[in-house]
Amino acid sequence: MATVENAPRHRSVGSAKLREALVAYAFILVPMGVFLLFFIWPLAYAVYISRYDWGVFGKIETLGFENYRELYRDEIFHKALKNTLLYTALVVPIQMALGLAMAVIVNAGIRGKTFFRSAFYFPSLASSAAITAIAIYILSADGLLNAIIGGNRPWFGDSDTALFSIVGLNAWTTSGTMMLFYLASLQAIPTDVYEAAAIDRAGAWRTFWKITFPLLKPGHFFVGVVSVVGALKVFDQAFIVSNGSGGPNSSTLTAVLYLYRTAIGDIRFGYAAAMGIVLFVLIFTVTLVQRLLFGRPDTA
Amino acid sequence: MKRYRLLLPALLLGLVVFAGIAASTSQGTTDRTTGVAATGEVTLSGWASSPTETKLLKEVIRGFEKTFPSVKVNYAPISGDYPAAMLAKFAARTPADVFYVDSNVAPDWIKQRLLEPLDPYVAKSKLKTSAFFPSLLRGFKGPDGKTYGFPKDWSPLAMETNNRLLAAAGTKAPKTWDELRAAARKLQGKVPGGRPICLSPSWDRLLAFVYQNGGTFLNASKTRSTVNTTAVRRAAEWYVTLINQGLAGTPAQLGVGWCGEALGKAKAAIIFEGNWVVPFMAETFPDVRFTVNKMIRGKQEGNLAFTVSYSMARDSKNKDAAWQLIRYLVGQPGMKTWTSKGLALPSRSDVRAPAGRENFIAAAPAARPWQFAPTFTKVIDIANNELSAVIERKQSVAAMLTKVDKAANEALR
Amino acid sequence: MATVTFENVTKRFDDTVAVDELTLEISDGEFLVLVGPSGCGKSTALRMLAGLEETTSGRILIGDRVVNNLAPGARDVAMVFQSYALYPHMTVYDNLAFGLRNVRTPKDEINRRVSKAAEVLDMTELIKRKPKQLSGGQRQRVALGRAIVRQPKAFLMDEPLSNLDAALRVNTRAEILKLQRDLKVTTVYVTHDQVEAMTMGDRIAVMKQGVLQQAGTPEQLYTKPTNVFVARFIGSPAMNLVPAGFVKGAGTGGQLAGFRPEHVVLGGGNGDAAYFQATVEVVEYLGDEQLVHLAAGDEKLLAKLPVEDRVPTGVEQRFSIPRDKLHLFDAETELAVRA
Repeated sequence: MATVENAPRHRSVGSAKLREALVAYAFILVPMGVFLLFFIWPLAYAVYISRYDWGVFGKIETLGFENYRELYRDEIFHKALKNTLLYTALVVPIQMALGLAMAVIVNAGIRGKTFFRSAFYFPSLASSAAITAIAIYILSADGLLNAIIGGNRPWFGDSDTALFSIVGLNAWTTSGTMMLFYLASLQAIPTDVYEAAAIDRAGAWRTFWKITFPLLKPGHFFVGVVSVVGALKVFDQAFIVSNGSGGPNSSTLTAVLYLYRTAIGDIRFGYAAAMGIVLFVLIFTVTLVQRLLFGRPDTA
Repeated sequence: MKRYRLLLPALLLGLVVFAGIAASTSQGTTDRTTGVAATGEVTLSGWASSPTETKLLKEVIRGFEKTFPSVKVNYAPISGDYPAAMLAKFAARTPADVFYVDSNVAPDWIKQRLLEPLDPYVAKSKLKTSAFFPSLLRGFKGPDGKTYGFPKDWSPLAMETNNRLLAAAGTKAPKTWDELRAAARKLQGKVPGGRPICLSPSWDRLLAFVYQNGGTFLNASKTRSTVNTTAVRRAAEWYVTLINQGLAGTPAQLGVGWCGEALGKAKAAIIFEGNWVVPFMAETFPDVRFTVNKMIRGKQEGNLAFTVSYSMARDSKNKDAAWQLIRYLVGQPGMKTWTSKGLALPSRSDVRAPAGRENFIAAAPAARPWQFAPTFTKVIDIANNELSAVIERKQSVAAMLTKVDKAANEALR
Repeated sequence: MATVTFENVTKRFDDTVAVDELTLEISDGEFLVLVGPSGCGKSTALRMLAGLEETTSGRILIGDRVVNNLAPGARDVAMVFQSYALYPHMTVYDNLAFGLRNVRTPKDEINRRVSKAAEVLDMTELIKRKPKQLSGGQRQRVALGRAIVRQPKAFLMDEPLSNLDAALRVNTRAEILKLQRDLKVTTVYVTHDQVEAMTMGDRIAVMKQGVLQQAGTPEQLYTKPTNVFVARFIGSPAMNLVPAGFVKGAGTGGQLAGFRPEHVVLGGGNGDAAYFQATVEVVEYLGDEQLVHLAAGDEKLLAKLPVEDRVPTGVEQRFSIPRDKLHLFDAETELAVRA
């Protein structure tokens, strides 16, 4: 008697679990589909075509790993990588420092804090192409900057200053976004820790460096990763200020810009794809290293 | 009732007759010159440099449509990155029918089989191509000798001089390399805040002087690099020395964006630029009086031709109509309208250039199209980088040429 | 070590008055408990003393110094927070050392004090751990340790035992008391639990809705509550309060009579006692005594009687209270009436 009564209940529990699982999968299906279609598929496709000489209408010649070997010897690619790494090494600390500073200011509860928050974030919202176009005017030989500080150096036209000018430009536009991330992390720090520090006679500076800064570890990690990945992929500004050439003297030629020039100018999609794969591996590795170094945040 | 029963068939018959007449009349506009009945819609693409240009082109198109009412032209200019947008359309097999092709990208686009060979159409319509400047035509011929486009306009380099500065230094416009140096010497110190000559640190100017010294970048069949030769080396050394001796300056050294700006701001008395500098000066520096002189000569005449063609897509769905359009655009009436404002120079000897452009046209025989072989973007990047390094005294001309030679030969493989 | 004085201290948040004219003097080395229900202003008063809130009016003094305008760090007080507020990214050692490092205490002095505190609190083996590796009780000890090493003028404790389980609470209560006795530091201790107040405080200050109701020793509050609120708040189970007429021999109309369950006697009513009749409803047997729930008319009363007393349910009996254990309050003002 007991077993007969138990049996239906047992079965319905199992099928309820199955139904739950199916519903879960159904929900994931769409975003997963998007992810596969727009991220995994192009990546796999890029790996595929990187082994060929690939033209407008497809396969021209099978090259195996020749594209990668050529990349190894390609001194322009090396220059592009160097430019990109230099750019990243400069822009990331600036963005992080500025973003953190702005977050601290906005969080301090000063008057007009909403205004500052909007003002700091605005450059990130505006179109990067529009901002770059304006920057070209401001930084031209007879532009606003030179009118203020004197001299007639064409900032984007001089191979010594072009890349650094892009660093400054991007630091200004992207710091606002970093500010938002830091702000979220900042507000996650419980206030009583600050109260304890105040009673423990910590001044503003010590409180910032010994309490706030270490407790922002999740923020540092996130901002760091986002910053580095974004910097390694820089393209827009380099393209616009150099008119697509990566000049002067390839000083603004970033890895992605070179990839673009190879694809559009030389119509060597396979070679460009190989570049993309190398860049992907580079970014992936850097992110992994960051994860290992800044991984676990402290809680409690 | 009985009346209406006949009405419907009568209407239908009327429609059929009317349609037949209409169709036959449009069909009747067979172009005697092509001998082919061209109808339908044709898409024309290109980049739009200025509103004036667009207006002129639309005028030409109107003229075409009036002459050939059975063909409708859909003008679809591309803003932004032209090659990128065109490549996307090519790959999707939905390209424009007729479009611009810059001589610099022609070798790659021909190699990728994006362009339709036009010789059959030329033959069918018995077109005489002798009016076109031969050097320009050569720019759009493939390695198979076939024609892949007809030049719509062009510009070589000329020597523009600042009248006031030259007069003040008491020197006339030079005609040879030695005269140039002498003129620069006379001008030294007399160009406040600048230098006598502005020279661009790039091969799209240097190469003209290389040609003047009898050198070339590639051999005639484009199978081998000839850049590491004495003729080229001497020309490059001469070019660089002018800069290093202070007789010439790069735009960066003069604090300007390009040499045209240097001319306008009187930071240089002598520059080498193309036809584009004329409207630029008129618009930006209307008060500066300058003269367009014939390009100087070295051992021989030598110049570069920056030219763009009208070409047909291999995947065009309406090739006959497309050819009709190309023929008109590069024909006499079309080109006359297009070049009437002096924004571009006619690529035919039987179309008169507007006033003041004679010294540009005179360069036609010696001008070679600015183009190389397929996949040469990297090589030119290397060449320009090395040239900049030489100008900054970080390396020798010989070392530069060795590097460029190596890169070129590798790209030719 | 120092005295702490509140002089007419008021705190207003927009329209609400959180602390109303608080005047209180705490002697050097005294353990004062601020107790009251939620929202009575006790935490606000403590935070004003710490410097974490600004006073709207009034003065706060530590020793002879008026500290109203001093930053928390300048007042030389140490605080133990309800949530401990440990520095999560620092080891126990660094948590304790932080306050000392901020004023550049020499390293060996820091070491000495931290080791001593760790020893006293029995957490020497935890010294290298981080807060997230500690249990609740251990974290609480670190919070205490942080206060101890500071050797401040006063300890301020904001409901430090609330987050502990019952057994731990009892043990830690005793430990804190012992600590305070040994160190002899003036301590202001905030809690909502009257048992904690009674067992720990040298003196207790009862607050209600921002107003100080009564401040005195546990005995004073127990035997001589000054108003109904204090009378009902102190002592568990709470005092019985009935209209005076209900108890024969008690006060006059317009008064309330109060008596604690533990002072109810079965029978009696002769001589000096006041008495009343009531029916037994429920009897809870506690082993050493009985908790008897009584009803008379509308009134519900509680009595704690010895187990020997026979109180069958449903039977009406006479109960009495010794006159000196009877409290009278004015029904309107709720203030105690002293006979």
